[in-house]
Amino acid sequence: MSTMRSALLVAKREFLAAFDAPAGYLVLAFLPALSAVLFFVTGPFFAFDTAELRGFFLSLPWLFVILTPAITMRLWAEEKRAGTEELLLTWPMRLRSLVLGKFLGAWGILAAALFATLGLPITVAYLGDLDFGPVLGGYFGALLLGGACLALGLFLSACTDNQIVAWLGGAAMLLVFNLLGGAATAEATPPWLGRVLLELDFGKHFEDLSRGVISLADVAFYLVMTAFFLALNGLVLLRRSWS
Amino acid sequence: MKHGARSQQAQRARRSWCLALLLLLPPVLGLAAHLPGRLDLTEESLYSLSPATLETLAKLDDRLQVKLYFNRDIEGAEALLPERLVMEDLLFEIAKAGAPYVSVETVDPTTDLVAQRDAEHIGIQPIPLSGQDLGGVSVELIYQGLELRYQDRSEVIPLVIAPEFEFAFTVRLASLLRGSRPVIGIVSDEPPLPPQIPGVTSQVPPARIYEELRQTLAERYTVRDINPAKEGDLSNDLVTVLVARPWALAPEKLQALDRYLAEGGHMVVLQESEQIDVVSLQAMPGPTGMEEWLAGFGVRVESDMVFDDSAIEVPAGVRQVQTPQGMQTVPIQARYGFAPIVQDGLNPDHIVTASLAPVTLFWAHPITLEQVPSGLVAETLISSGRQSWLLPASKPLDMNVRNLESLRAEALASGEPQARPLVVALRGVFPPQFSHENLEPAPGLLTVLGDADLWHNATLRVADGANQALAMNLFDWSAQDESLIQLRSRGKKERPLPAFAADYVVAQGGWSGDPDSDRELDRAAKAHARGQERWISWGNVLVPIGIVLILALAHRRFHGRRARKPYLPYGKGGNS
Repeated sequence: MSTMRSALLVAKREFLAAFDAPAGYLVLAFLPALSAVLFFVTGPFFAFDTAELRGFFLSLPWLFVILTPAITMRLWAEEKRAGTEELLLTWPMRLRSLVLGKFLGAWGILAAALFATLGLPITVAYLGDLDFGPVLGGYFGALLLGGACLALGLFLSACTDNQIVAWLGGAAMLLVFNLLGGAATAEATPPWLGRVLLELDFGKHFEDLSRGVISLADVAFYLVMTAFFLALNGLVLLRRSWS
Repeated sequence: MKHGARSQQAQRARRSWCLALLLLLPPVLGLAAHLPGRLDLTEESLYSLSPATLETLAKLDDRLQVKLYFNRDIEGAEALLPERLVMEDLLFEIAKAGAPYVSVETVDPTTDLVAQRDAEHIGIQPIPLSGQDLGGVSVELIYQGLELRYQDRSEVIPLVIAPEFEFAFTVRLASLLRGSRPVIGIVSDEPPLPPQIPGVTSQVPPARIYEELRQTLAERYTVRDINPAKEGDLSNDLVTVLVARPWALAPEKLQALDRYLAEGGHMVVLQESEQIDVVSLQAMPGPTGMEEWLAGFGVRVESDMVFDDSAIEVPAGVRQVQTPQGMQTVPIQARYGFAPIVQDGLNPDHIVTASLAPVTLFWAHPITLEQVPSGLVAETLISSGRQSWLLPASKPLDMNVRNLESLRAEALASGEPQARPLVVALRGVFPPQFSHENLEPAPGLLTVLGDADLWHNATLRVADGANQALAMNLFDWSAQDESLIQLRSRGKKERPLPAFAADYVVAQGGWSGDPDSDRELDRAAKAHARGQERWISWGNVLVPIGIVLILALAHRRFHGRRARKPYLPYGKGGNS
């Protein structure tokens, strides 16, 4: 079986398995509901009097801090705790298919959760003359940002057999990655380091995408970060399979 | 032993991979950060800087500090905050395009005392914005200014708005890069200023009717009175020349101006075929000396005057009214059709007029464009309203009600009303109309206004400063290079939400005029709007939860049924 075909099989299994337990549905309801609370109820959408979704997209990096580790926390940690990891690693498929499959399965769940937020653009388009360019850019960026967050979460899930630790670790790491470009970091670090950290900020690269500007540099950043954490994930599993 | 060696080898390989990954990440991210491709999906390409701005930024060879002074939170005026967001986004683009020289910063003078002091020091004044709240009338101070610092020079825009942001920024940056202040030359028949005597305030002669305009322009330019016929006066350092109300202009002056324009000069002409005393309203017709010259470029400023239904209201006399207290004298206000207020006639696509408030013209003449030479591009910047007619300039200009009624009757009888161009601009290589030696043709710019009175000392500051803003915009535009002249207004399209409260008021039959019932209606309208907003908000929160709940229940039911299905061996109805 080819790497991609095996990966898709694993992805399908992970995607469907997520909805065999209430957790999958919680994830599916969490994102649209909390987004709507932040955007319409507590946010200044009506006060701004402008038909745009910028506020919603700008809240996504923070929502992903909670959501994406919740999706990935069980993917490896649960296998390890239940003792099925060894069995999985002996499957007749390459390690990269396993890692990629787990990642794609998690990405599918996130995409479903993002799909569930489509009520927001539909409502805003009904209320006013919505520019769909930034909406497309925002969703595209959300998938890329989510991919990088999931890859990080997946890597941390592979490092532990405790789901809570995987979730907490993932949330903490994502929080750090979202704060790297903040003013507090810039003030506390020398300028050159501040610039480097700014470049690593997950949220900063999402800003352009959320306003409808798709820059190759931002796309490449998320792809590189995703590939990096997936590779680390693979190395952790490799170590375990050898030991 | 063999296994141990293999394990050690594998461990070494894994470590090398880890190290390689960590070492590779920074250079790969560094390379990724410099990938050039970019796609702006917004409807108006809102976040793509124009070539003129990019070219100007490319000329930077030292640090440029850009500081936007804008409130972070404005209670009661939150609708202004998207404007701030647009400007911050454009500054972000500017910082990226001007890297590593450009640094941008946004400060809020209402919360930062240092920023407040800086803002006041450089001339950025807050705009008071009054609103109603529970405690009565509240006043918010709004800061909306921009400061650019480059080397030892700085430029300040006291009030910057999103649609003009890029143009305003680029013009100021170009000015900073130029080093010295650009020079505007003024050709007019006004008397010179008396010589300055230390300690004595000199009086400006009353006939110096464009003195206020000079002072306005002097905020950003060096303004110099010039005589075109004098050698060296039309020098290369002039960025634009204003020919203000020419009167029997001498041919040698016109010849010099012709050469200046043909060689790529920029010129603004205030052309009128009569001189009107703004106090006595007496008109004196006569030749300007430029009629034929302008006609050579296809521009004809008509001698008739525009009479517009949309015009300023003036005190037009008094009338006696019988009241319970007896006869009383009541002032009469009437529209003065010779002073049109232009709003719809401002070209929305032109940077000079795109975001202007309505301007007021005085005794304006329409401009006809015909047989414009090839190589010249003409565009109309300002037109009169659609309900405007032409009346001969010989008509009495008095503001008494009888005269105004008679003028309107004549206007209505004169034919169908229509919009008429009042300000036009021509760009391109102007064919010389005199013979010149060693002429070096280059693209120039000529703006003709069929009104020489809109920037008069008495009228410059009318209409809440809109006439003054028009002057600044026009000279900022006319004083630029060819690339900047082509920079267009790319304002963010308004995308308002439904006005629930206003719709409710209309549905209830509108305001009655009675303060008590209007207050009640206002309260009900606000409650209705809040209710609508609550429905939308909580609908968006609860509907997805409901849908997901239904999906979960359906899935559980399906699963339960599948689990209850008895196991049947293969071949007897079981799964094959």
